[in-house]
Amino acid sequence: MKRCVSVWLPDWPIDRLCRHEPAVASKTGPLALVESGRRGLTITAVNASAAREGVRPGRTLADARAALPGLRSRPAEPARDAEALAALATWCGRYGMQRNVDGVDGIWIDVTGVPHLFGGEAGLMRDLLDRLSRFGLTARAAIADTPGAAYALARFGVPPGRQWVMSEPGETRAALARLPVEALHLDRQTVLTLKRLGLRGIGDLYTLPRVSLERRFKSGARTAAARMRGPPVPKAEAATVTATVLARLDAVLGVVPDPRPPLVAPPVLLVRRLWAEPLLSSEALEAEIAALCAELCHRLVGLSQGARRIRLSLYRSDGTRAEVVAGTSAPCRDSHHWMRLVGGRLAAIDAGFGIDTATLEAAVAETMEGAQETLAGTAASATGCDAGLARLVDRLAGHLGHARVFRLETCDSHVPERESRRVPALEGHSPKPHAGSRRAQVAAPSFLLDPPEPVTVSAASEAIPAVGGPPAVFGWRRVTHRVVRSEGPRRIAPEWWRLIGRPPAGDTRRLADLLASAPRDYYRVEVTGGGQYWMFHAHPCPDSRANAGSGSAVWFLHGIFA
Amino acid sequence: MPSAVPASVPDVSPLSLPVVAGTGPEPSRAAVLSSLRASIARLEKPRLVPSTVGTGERAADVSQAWTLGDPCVDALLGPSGLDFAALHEIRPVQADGREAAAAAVGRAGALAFALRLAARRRVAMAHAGPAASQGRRGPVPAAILVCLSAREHLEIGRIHASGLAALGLDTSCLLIAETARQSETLWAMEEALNSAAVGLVVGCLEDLPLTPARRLALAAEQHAVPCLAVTAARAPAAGATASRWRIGPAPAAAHPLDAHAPGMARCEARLERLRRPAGRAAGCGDLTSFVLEWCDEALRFRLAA
Repeated sequence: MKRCVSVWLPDWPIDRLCRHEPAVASKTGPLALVESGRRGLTITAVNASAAREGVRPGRTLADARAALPGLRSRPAEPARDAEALAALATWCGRYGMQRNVDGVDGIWIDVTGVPHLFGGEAGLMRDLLDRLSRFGLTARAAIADTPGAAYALARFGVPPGRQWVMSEPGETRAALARLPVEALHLDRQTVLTLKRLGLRGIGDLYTLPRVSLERRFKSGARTAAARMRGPPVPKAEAATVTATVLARLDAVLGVVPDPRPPLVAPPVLLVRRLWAEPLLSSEALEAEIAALCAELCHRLVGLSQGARRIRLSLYRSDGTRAEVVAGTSAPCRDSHHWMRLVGGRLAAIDAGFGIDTATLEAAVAETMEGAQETLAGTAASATGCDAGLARLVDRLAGHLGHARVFRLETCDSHVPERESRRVPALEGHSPKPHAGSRRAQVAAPSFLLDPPEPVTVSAASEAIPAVGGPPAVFGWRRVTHRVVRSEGPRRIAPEWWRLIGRPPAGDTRRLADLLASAPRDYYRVEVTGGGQYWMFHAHPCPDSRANAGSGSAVWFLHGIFA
Repeated sequence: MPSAVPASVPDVSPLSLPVVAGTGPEPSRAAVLSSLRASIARLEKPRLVPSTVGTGERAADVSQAWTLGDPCVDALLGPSGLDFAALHEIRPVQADGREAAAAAVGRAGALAFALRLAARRRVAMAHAGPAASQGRRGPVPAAILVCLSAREHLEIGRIHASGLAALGLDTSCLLIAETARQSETLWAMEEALNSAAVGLVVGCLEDLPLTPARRLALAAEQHAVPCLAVTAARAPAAGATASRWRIGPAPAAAHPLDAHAPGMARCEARLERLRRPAGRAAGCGDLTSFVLEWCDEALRFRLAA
């Protein structure tokens, strides 16, 4: 039987602000969070002191100040609230792997199979609310069979003076019967219509036969609309509204499944360790994590799988969490290798007041057959070489960054900067070798400047070479180069499918547009002293020789032959 | 029995062993010495011992040696070619001014020379065949690690795969690591050398102080993986290197089919230092310099006429 917890944080924006800025929390007195609305600054949240004085969200700040001159105000920060709520949801991973934020002020956690670790469901709920109140958060919570039922109970079913409520397994219908229909998490208009129909509690919906409910709802909606002298509800809309109510009810009661995306994809395998005393020294932490790695390896062998990505989460005793993620280019279940990947990064983690829980998960895993171990220990074979290279890639990519260790892969393009692309080596497949047919055709530079650098060409030097040839003298990086020999032109046109949607001529004053849309004439030039460069001339307008010498910005240096 | 004691003493005393066993002391002594020499030679690094044990088997076939491919240059390197279990330094020539353009071209030339040496190393391995593992356990891996810093990206851009392919250099075996700092580059190079999972390591550095140079050289020697360090023109010469090259641009000949077009790019290579396999002192100063041209079909350098 599935069990879900829903946490409701009624004062979340205020609590979040007090937690992040202790200076705000230290001052007592009424406080309101405001945002600019249609009628000026509008209150979005108030603290307990302001609520006692009768300030309610939705009023304008000016109105509230008229009644309560001492009201302090702060701008509301919904983005930071959401971010902090996601962080809190992540922290809730200690109660269950699958969890996520629920609206702007709630969190759901799937705790199936977990409560016995906390001494039963009551123990889990006490632990959860204990910790939340220690963080300075006002919280209400409920545990029920479905996330929807827990949502309803947490918001509408917690008796005054208590912080949480539990619905016994299988008792969802009875527990929800007394709750108002708002608890079904419906939009306001639907709730209003249901109330007009006389359906005030969820229990009222149980007794009605399904088919007639739909029929009644349709006519009722129309009557309600007529009574409100509003436009009549279209038939199709009424049908969808009815379907919504019924589907919601079924999901909340657990008749149909209520799948919800979790915050993080569930791992293939997870091992966890809890310590009675928080760990503070890095040596102790390293030893414990080595043991975790060994345990995960041992369990992966049983599944004949190897991990491609592992995630180590360290939960500090003050509720914060640190994470180390390491990827491997091939499936791996070697605990020493993992320790090398994560061990180096443990030193950078601030243990704070100590770490009391650690989980190690195989986030991505692939099938991995067992390999025969040789007597000598090291396999002197081609696979041994590949394994060694894979481990080197893992270490380099772990240290330098995923995208900074790469191979080059040929792409099907004739534009030089798109001829090859970087493939992160951690993705673990060897690139296709280069097509041999292209080799003999054209000379290409060994190094390609990215992006091409404009060179300065004086008007006088352009008069010397033949029409269309490269300039006799050009300036690049503040040095004047004199061209001795040149080869070209070689015309490279942009790929036509990239020109679709661009203005025909493009705004050639912008360099990026010019590079993207203009055909280029490439020349290989040799300068005095022996350097060879790859230059091109971008035509702002194709087939217009008149433009060739119009501006100095149309010549670019794109590569170095060496 | 007092007379039995002197009779039994020679048997147990180690000092008297040669006397007891030595029916013919001279040949035995020579044999012991030669076997000791042989075991010392085995323990010592092969190139320091001018006997047949270390270098003989390596120099057996000249085509297996890591050379530049031109007979004149290879004669200078000796029969065993460049030492593959060592650190080599490649520097661009000192530019006249402080211009960024000259520095970029010099850096590009030095890196390109290193990549060609890497290709020569693969040629040597191909000649040696899979059986000759050249002092390693297992076959020599084909992958080449190239460590580029952020400065390379600004100065010379990125490695252009089809450009190197036109030179006959295969980029599918290149593993490229981009680093932000020199310390990261050195770390990556040493890590790769110690893993022995790559066949060659190329690293672009600003300078190479003694301690990192020594660490890289020891790692290269221990795992028999060559290490090429591309350093800046003005950096002080690194120690612990088996060879040091200075690379500069050289004017190319005209294209064979078109007098107005430039031919294959050339470089002027100067061998500034070479630690001889025979253990003689490191050669310093201007040994010699030559203008080299890369042959993209035979994958070798040739002395430009």
